[in-house]
Amino acid sequence: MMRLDTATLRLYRALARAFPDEFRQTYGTSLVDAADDMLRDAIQRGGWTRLVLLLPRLLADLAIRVVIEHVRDAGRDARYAARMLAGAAGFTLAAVACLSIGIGLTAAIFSEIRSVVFRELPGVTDAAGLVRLQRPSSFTYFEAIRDQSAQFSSVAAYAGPVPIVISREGAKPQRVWGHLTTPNYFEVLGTRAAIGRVFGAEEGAPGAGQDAVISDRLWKTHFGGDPSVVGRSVRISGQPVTIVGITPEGFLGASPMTSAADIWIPTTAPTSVAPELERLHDTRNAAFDIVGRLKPGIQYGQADAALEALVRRLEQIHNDPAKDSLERRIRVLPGGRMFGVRDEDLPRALGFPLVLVSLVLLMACGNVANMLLARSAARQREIAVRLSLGAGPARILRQLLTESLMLAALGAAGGIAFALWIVSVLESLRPMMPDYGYFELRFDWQALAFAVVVAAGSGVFFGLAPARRASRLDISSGLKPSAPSSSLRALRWFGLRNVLVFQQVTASVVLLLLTGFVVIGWGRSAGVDVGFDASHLYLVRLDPMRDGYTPAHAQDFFDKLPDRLRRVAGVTHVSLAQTLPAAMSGREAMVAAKADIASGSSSLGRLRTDRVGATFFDTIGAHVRVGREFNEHDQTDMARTIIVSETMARQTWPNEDPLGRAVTLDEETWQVVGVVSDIRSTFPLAPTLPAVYRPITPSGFAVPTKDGVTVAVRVVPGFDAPTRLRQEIDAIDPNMTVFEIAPMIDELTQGVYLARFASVMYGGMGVFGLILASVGLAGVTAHAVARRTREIGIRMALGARRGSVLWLVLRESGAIVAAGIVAGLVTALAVTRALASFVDALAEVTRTSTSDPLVLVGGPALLAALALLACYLPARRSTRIDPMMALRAE
Amino acid sequence: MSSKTERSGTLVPLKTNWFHILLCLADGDQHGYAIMQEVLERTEGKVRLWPAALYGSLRRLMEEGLIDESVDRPAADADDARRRYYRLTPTGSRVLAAEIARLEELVRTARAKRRSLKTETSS
Repeated sequence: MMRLDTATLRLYRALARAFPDEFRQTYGTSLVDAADDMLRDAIQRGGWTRLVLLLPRLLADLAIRVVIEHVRDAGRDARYAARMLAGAAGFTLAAVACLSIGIGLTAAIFSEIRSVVFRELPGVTDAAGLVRLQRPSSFTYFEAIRDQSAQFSSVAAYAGPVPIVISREGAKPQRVWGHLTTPNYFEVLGTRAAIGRVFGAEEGAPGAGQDAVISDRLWKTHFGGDPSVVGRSVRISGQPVTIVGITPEGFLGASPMTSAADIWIPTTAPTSVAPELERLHDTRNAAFDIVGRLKPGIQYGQADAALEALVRRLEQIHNDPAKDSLERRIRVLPGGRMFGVRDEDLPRALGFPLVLVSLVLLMACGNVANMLLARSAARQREIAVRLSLGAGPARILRQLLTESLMLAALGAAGGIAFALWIVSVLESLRPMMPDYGYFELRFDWQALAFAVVVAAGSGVFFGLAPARRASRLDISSGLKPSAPSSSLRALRWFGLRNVLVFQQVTASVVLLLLTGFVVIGWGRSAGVDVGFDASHLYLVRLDPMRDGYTPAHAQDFFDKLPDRLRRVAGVTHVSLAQTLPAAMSGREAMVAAKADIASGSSSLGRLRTDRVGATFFDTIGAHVRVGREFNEHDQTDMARTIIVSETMARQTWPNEDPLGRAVTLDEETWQVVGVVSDIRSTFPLAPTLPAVYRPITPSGFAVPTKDGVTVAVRVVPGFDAPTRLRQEIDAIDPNMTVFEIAPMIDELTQGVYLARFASVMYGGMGVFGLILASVGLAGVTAHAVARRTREIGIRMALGARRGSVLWLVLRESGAIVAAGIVAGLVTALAVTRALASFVDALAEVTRTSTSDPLVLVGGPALLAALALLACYLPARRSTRIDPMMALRAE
Repeated sequence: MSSKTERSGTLVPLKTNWFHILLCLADGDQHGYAIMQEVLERTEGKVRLWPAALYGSLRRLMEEGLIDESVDRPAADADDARRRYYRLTPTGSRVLAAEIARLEELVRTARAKRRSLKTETSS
């Protein structure tokens, strides 16, 4: 058996290896010897007992000292690194900027993706088990699915956003967005009430439910967080309704992104509470979203097939006009996420932003790698000096590692700041979003960690390059004033640095072109002439039915309103619309005015028809091409006159006179009395659809859309419409709630919210990509030229002319840049095509912009100019130096 | 020179370990283990310099320029070839002297206080 002292000494020797190199080399042997002597002494003096007593303290002493020495070394490395970085301020600044941009952009985009796509619905139980159907359907179809399909273990339906006006004693009526839900809605979602109860069996009986559940948000903002609200009665559309419960914090319904709800009314409520329920059993009213839970073991695909078959059967039974369509009706989507995307569709949804983010990150990493490599070459001498002074390779490695980590830490700090800034910019675009959409951009620390690891990791990897070189370095050649660069020209061409420059240029071109295609594509379609004059046009929204008016009373009010408003000085035109053309608001009316249209025996499909009043087109500044527009005589329930858009007329009756044509619409015959110019959507992706307009009807006022009734008012410049119009309406009827007076221009902006959002996002990425590219190119080429100072000096000394020397320098860099640009162009076009082939929206946006000369030529030209400038400036400086100076450096 | 004086100013009061090591070297060059033993004996076992702490301190003292490695080896019969010997530098001597002076001053003050304490209790 090994003696205790021998074993201890072995252990001690092994532990002493943990000291930093330098310490171990200098004191290691003495230390172990001293320990050896001590152990021997102890045995001599006090025998084994003494040795055993000594042991723990001997080892503790060693352990403590190992830590102290490492901390001291690290501190020294850090001070040295800080001095080195401060000494090369330009390099440090550029590297930190690149890392910050790369880390910040990646973290922000990932944050956005994660909070928009992957975040689970707040306030529901077992979100992963929820599913929804992609398209809304009619309540009748929902009932059939609920009763006949074997796929769901539970299923609910809801319609929204539905406007609800809540009024109570002593408070101004509030108009908020809500859902009309089947009573089992909360049970299916697994949402329990925070206070009171959610809907249950009480609401199950038809006509029983004059109950409402409100959100925590509404409770806090409108009811002051007073718990006694539960059980109290309020008025909705003038009818008494009891608030039975409050939902948990954060819960805004089953689809907060597209329809955030603050109040829930059961579908069993009387129609006097929610006029939308008039059409509950209308099979043409596909207003209900379906959400449920599949039975255990049922896959999405199986559910798709079974439900598709069921819906097709229902279409036959109900003689649905869509029955012959070959389109798929049913697609089951995950229902528990903010954005319902099936896993297999994720690449489709996220492909484009991910490609862009990867490019930015690649460029940032490439830049930093480039700069570090360039610097490593310059530091070879410093390292050779330190090696010759006895520093071990491990020591040098540690030093370089410390520097890289310090850079990475600075970059990460900058990245966090930058990411927070981007998130705040994106947040600031939120007011452009419709108020019934909800999304919250959450800063995602996991995304940040990922970006930091990638960017910092590459920084560290390339930061250690000098150490790898140093291990191969012949000290004597490293000490020479300027180690000659590789003499083999051919090899230099394929050197790591040139490859990096090439990669840099390629990635920059790809990023610039991809973002350019999208931003210009969007910008172009967003800038189209909308077909009417939006300036000085105001939309006033009124909803008398929900203020508790009777249909007759509402009708009477709207009979008088236009004339009253026209008499106000400053108002030039007034007209009513029961449904506003979608293109004018970017909002879909909930009571979708879609109708099956036929001309003679040929079907024209299912089209949206809007109901507009007398002189509507004159008011909005559209043009009547042929015939006339509606007048007061058309505004009766008997009138069968319609106006069609130019596109509609051209498509249906090419080269024929559309006036007087008979059109079948909802099984009734209508007569075309006019053709108006197209109203184009400001939404960038929307094509101009054929449009059909019908006159407003007195009975139409009883079933308002979620936007209520719109009054279009054109005023003279300088007229304070919001105040004056409100006053005037108050004067006519003080009980009427004007819930919105919006300039048309604002409405248009809201419609293009998504496009604006995307343009800012992608445009921003392009701009920052360009910054990255210029920093990278400048850094690398400047360094490459600076290294040739000696060669340039010799050439100049031998009588070379400045022009030819400049050309020499520019030629090599230019060749690499040109190759990178060509590769970038090809890649960008290929990537766009590949992405467009499975992202329809992208295909639409980039259809024309991929051949846009501004992008195709401008982008690469901009980069080439930057690159050449980056080469030219240091080259010119080199040619200015005194040849003798360059040679003396030898 | 003035910077060295300043420096010795910042090093005083000395850390206990440092003081004991410098004190050992005041009599002549010594190797590490001898320093450990001397300190142990001088303090009658109250202060023990453990090996790692000792060499850590020696390193710091070298970096501070208070000691350096001795090139002179002791007489051949007393020389232990594997040992490294350390000696005081002039700065080290000055710092040690400053520390001793400081301690003397401290003791003087303490003694004076003790005297007045005694008179107070006796009176």
